[in-house]
Amino acid sequence: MRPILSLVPALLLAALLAGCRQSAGGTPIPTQPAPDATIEATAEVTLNAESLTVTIALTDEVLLVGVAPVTVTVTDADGEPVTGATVALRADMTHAGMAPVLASAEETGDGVYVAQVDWNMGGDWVLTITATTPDGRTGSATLETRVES
Amino acid sequence: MTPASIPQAATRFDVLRLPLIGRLLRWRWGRLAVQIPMFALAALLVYDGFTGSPLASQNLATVAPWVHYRGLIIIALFFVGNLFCMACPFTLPRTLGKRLSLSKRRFPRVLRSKAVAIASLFALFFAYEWLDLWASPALTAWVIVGYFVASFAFEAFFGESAFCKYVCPLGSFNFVYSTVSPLQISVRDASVCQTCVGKECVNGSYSPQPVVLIDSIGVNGAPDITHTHTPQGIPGCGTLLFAPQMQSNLDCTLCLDCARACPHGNVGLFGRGIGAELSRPKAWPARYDVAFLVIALAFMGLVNAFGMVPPVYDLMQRISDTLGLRALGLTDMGIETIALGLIFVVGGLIAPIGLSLAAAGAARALTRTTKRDNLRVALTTFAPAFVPIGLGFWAAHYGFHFLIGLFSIVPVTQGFLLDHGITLFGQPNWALGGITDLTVIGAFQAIVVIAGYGASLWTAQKIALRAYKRQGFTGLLPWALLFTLMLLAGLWLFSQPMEMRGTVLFD
Repeated sequence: MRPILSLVPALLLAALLAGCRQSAGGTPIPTQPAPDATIEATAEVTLNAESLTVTIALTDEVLLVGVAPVTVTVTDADGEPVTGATVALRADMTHAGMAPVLASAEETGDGVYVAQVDWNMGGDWVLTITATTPDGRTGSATLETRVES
Repeated sequence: MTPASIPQAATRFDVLRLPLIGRLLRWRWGRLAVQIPMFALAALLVYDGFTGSPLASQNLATVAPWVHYRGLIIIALFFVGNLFCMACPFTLPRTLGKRLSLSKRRFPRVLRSKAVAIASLFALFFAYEWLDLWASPALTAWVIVGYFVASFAFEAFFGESAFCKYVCPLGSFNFVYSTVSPLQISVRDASVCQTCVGKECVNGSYSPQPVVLIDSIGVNGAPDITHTHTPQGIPGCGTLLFAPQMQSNLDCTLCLDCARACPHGNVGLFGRGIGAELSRPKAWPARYDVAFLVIALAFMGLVNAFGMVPPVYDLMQRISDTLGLRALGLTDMGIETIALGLIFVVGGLIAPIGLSLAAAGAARALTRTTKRDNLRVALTTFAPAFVPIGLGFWAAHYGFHFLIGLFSIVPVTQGFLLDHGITLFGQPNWALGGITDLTVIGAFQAIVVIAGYGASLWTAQKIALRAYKRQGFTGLLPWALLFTLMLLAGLWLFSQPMEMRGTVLFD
């Protein structure tokens, strides 16, 4: 059937898009290299900003839909724990249109803060932590992770 | 010639006769007035896509098209008509291309079918899943740029609206589902068209030099009714539809150039029953390409949604294991390309073509009409019945994203404005989303899928009774079975939890 020949442009378009994939993307999200299939539980991100260091640890083996704790450690430039900081968490799904999950962390001592995050849908998430000390110093970290249904 | 089933003008509601909106729509610059804001919006999306947040949920380039456009388009098609094509911003550079007209050639004959539209729809849906367009503002911006370039290039090199009619996947989607819309272009008085000299609705009223056309010669031999074509004239129908013969919204971009060009004011935008054309005899051409476009689009509605639920990842893993793709040394991306590609080819092309041909063949055999109807007639007669169930699938999928992210455009817009120093609308409330109760959204999805199925069955029954008379029920059976299988697939699919992964990792 002759019209079938017109599928050729689509195949060419698909090949073109294949080339696009390697170079796609906008401003990179400051984060660690993409985690592998099971590394979410131990993934840690460290980012220095204005003398604070924020470290994230997800405490579940595999993140499933539901509430799970996120542990945040805040240290200063000397590696000493920072107490009394305000730690805010924001979890965004990578799909457009999904409202972010917002949470704040409670301090448990020695610069360790724990937040309960409601991972309300399966998929890829970007977790952003911002710590602010009473004297105005801030630090932040970002982590990509995946939640399974 | 006006089909007998279309009521006469006096009894029909005509949008173009409404006091304010009718006047605006008939205005020479009426389309441009809605296209310019859409063009500005498209430019804004491209700008934010390339320069804004790389997070899709915080960027206008991803939120507006993938959440709101897709939801609103379903609402518009069902309740009004093909409003997006009417306001399409991509036709503005196309008009420039038309004026440049590097070539007046027609689109190649071999490509003058809906096969190209099927291919472009397939490519768009596949790219959406494979490239994770939903998660990438920059890639989405590139898609918009690509649209502008393509519409310009096609109009520059071909002497008709080839991009709209044969290529554009958005337009093809809108053409198919505008067949349920309650509005359709038609004429008030068919006898006016019979004696019309210029047929401006399709030919246009443009002429490089003023030309006087004589409509009627009086008793003294002098022209008593004339009209003029001028350089300021209106182009005729870009997709070459002839208003008095239109029985379908297929290929109608709702540009209303036909109504503006008609020197007799005889073209209107008339009300009709929702989906009225689907069961109207001979409203659609009996062509394989048109039928497969409609049928494949319904199946693509399932496949596209399947790409976002957990079982797709299990299936891709199984395909990888079965074909030994990992052993071949392919990367995760390579494996995903092949596995996802196979799912799309089988589910979006092979299954609809194979199953619909099987149903048509079975209907012919069961009704003993194999000598009367060839396979093409048996298939194309029932193709319109795939519109409602397909629309149900798309409404369920797009409706999910639309409802769950209904108000997400508000904080994203506020964030964009703040990034540019505009504080008028305050700080964004990022918690503003949409309907968070997934049970409500699930109920909506079930309702639209079942409603689509019911409407498809009803349409198929009307077609079967008309085509097979006393054998109507027997002829309906294969199609009813196919629709039921599609319904079950849809209900299972939309009962799955969403899992929107960008990175797929294989064992």
